[in-house]
Amino acid sequence: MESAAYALDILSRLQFLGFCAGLKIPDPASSHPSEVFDAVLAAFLREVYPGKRDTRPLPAALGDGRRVDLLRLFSAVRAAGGYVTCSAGAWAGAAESAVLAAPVKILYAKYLGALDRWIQRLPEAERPSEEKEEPSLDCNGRGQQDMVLKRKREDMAGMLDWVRGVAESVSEEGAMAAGLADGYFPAALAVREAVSRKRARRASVANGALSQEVSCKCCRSTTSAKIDVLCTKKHGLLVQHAGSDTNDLTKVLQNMNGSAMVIEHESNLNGQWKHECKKQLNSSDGWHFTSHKRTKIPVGSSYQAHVPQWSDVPPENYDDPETLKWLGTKLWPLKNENKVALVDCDPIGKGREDICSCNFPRSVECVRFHIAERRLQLRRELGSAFYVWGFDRMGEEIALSWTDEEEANFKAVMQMYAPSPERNLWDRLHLSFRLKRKKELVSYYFNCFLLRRRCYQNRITPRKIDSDDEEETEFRFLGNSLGQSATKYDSTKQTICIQSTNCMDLDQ
Amino acid sequence: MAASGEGVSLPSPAGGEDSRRRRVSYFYEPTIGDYYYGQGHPMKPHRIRMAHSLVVHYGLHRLLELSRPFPASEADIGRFHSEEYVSFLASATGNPTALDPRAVKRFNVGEDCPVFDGLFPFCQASAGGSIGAAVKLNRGDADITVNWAGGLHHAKKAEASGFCYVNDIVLAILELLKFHRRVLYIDIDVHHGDGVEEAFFTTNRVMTVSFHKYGDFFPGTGHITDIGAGEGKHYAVNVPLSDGIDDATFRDLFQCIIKRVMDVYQPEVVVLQCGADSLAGDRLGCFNLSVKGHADCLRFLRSFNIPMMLLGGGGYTIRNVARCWCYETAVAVGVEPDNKLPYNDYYEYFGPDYNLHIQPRSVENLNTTKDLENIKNMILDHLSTLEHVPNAQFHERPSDPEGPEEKEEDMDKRPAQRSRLWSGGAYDSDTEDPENMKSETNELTANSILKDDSNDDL
Repeated sequence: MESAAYALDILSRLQFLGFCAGLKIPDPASSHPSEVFDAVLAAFLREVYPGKRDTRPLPAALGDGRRVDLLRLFSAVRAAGGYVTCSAGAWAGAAESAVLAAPVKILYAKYLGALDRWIQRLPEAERPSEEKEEPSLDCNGRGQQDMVLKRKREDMAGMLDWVRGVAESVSEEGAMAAGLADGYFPAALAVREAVSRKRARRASVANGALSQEVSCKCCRSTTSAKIDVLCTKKHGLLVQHAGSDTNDLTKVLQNMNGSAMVIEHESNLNGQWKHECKKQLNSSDGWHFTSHKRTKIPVGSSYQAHVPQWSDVPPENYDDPETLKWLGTKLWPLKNENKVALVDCDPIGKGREDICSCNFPRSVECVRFHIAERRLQLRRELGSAFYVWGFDRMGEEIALSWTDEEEANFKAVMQMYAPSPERNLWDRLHLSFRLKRKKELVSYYFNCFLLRRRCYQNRITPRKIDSDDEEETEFRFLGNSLGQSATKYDSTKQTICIQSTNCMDLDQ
Repeated sequence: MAASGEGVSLPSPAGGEDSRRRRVSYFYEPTIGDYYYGQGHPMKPHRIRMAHSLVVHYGLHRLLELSRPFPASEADIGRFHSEEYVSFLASATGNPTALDPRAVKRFNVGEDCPVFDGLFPFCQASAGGSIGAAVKLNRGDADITVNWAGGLHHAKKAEASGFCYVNDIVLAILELLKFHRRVLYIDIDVHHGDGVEEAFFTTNRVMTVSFHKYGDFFPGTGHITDIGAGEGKHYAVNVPLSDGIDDATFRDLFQCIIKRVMDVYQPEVVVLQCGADSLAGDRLGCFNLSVKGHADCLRFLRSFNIPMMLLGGGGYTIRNVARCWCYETAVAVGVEPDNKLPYNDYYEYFGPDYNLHIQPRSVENLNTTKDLENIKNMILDHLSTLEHVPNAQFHERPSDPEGPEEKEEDMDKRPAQRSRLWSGGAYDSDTEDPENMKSETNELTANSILKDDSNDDL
């Protein structure tokens, strides 16, 4: 709602942040809300960009002279989730709400960017009731924290750029001032403080002063680009290690000429990191590779292996059973079996032929047929080795010993408990499948369940594939266990192409 | 620019004149894929089974000797690890309430190294494979031995670490040391090979060389100035790298450093830990190597014609781990497999492209030319200290008055007593059809990686 009260609320929040201290709006009830907003904005911009008043004349107008209602624009963008979300593709909607057909993004950035960033810093509780309906578009229902973190990441990257800029052009006041406008200076100070605290803690860990319970796992050693909110809570760090898909935080040390302001180098290299990040938020222990931090290699009989002196005399009895047992059980080549079958085999190293005579090449059914065909050939070639090597326990054929109901049940339990932070998935599976041993469940998981998930991902979300994220449960099996009916084709009717509701990313 | 063919050529053992062919012995425990670290844990032994499936479906088994490993006993494992630790591992079951919390803390099990069902048999299979691989090399039964279930390089003498419980590599090297005077250990896992370095930190009979990400990264050791101690000083090499290193950069650095290592150290056998978490897109790693780039290390080492052991290690994007180790098995036997994967039991894991090779990501290589120059120079400097006294470091310790006088050993030949037990020729001459075998290609530069836009793993 773009009422004067909304504009005044913005003012009160700015005052909370330390801007527009003495500003009072005369008779706000009788003024047009957008004028009230323009006044607040003008005061704010004066403080944020000292000496640059002329570049942002108010009221804002387009090239053709039409006035822009900044209040409406600001409100529309906030309702759509803020500047960052809109940058992800919602500008058209925001523009429409603000009744504008102009390049709103540039306009927004110029006039309202700084305001947007500052307002976003305020915790949720400070927001007025009107804004509670604000949908968080990129949260996937996982809560506000992802949004906050995402913003913080963007801020962090911006702040770093600013610090570098300042370092490279020390004499330019403009660079400094711009950073002040975006709140970079306090953020930079916070980072410096956090890093020096982290260093102090590291030094004490290296001396063995901290026991395992006291020190925080995430601080001692982390893989790159992990955000750990719990670490923040424990140690009061103001800044998490942040990264984003496209930005790196690089060592500022060189630029800062030995200043204590060092931002550790972190970077994100793949989209799976996002999942790691979200997992961090949800679970209390990610895979941090905890370590007893020992930067100095210990020396002593408790650490080194005993290496005898070299002797020219070889060991005796290297042919004795004690030694020969290490050769293990020879599985291949076989003694006399199946020499004939080898003649028909494909050349070594040959891959697949992509051309086949299936009705629907490369469909789920086609693939399953060829895999079965290949396995049959292998069985003929290997003979008993096929079973000894465990090929009879590999792949989707495992599912043949499971009923449809059991499979559906497995999937249901996975969907319910795989994302749960309690890590009780396997207990739950055990409860649901009392007659199956855990080994059987694990085998089904890797040989069938994950395989089918990948099958789905390959066809429906080919740009978003993951063989290793255990929490991903949004998928369905294509076809039944034998691959039939994966694609239904009714020859009596004409085929019509309709947009797939499952396909989420083929157009990107 | 060919990536192979460079290297000091030492006289090859009998039967190895054809540089394309090697006798390769491969250890595989058929139940290894059934072991499960637990919900959400990134280490998945299932990847070894996936790799094996690819190896077999490509027909590579026809050029391999395949063996099921003998499970190492507590006593065998105790050749390196402490007795209390081994007995703890042997008795630990998956039931969390049965564990003594003090022992859990003391031996560092619980989080990264959970106690899971079948933990000890898993360790036994892993260690058994590596020790078996060592015995094969000692006996001269093979030129290259492979154990993808091994390579667990973080385990320490009395504690688990980084998903590793029993350090199969140390056990294997101890076995190799019975027949080889100098063993070279090379580690291309993205994490520092701390367990192996620590075990051999004070000896000159094992030189450990590790290429790894350094800086706010597990395990935190592996600084360039860690060069060993005591008699082992200058026999540990650490190459600390930053994120995003690519094939070309890695290859230059690797070849330059390893060539010098080979020159000055002249190892008799090489152990290569092929941790696949240095591949692009790894769940925990941060490098940007393709499968070809990763395998270039093996290819380069192979050209030196020295007996070699290949071990597994890290690797947490399991579809890429399987691709990598399958391809490296092919390189070991001297075959260049087709990029289009054959239909196999885990085919769908490899979609939507279903190709063997992967594309590096478009990420920044944070290793600047200057950084790399500095690293290279520093390491070559360290290594040059070994050149000045070419024989001194191999002398017996002077404090041992009873020791035999050191003879001028001819480092190029194996002593006559260790005559070969195997007479030559491939394992099964019927299966070797030279017309069917693909010739080894030398075109291994980044340019030769298939450009496939549809392979866009996220």
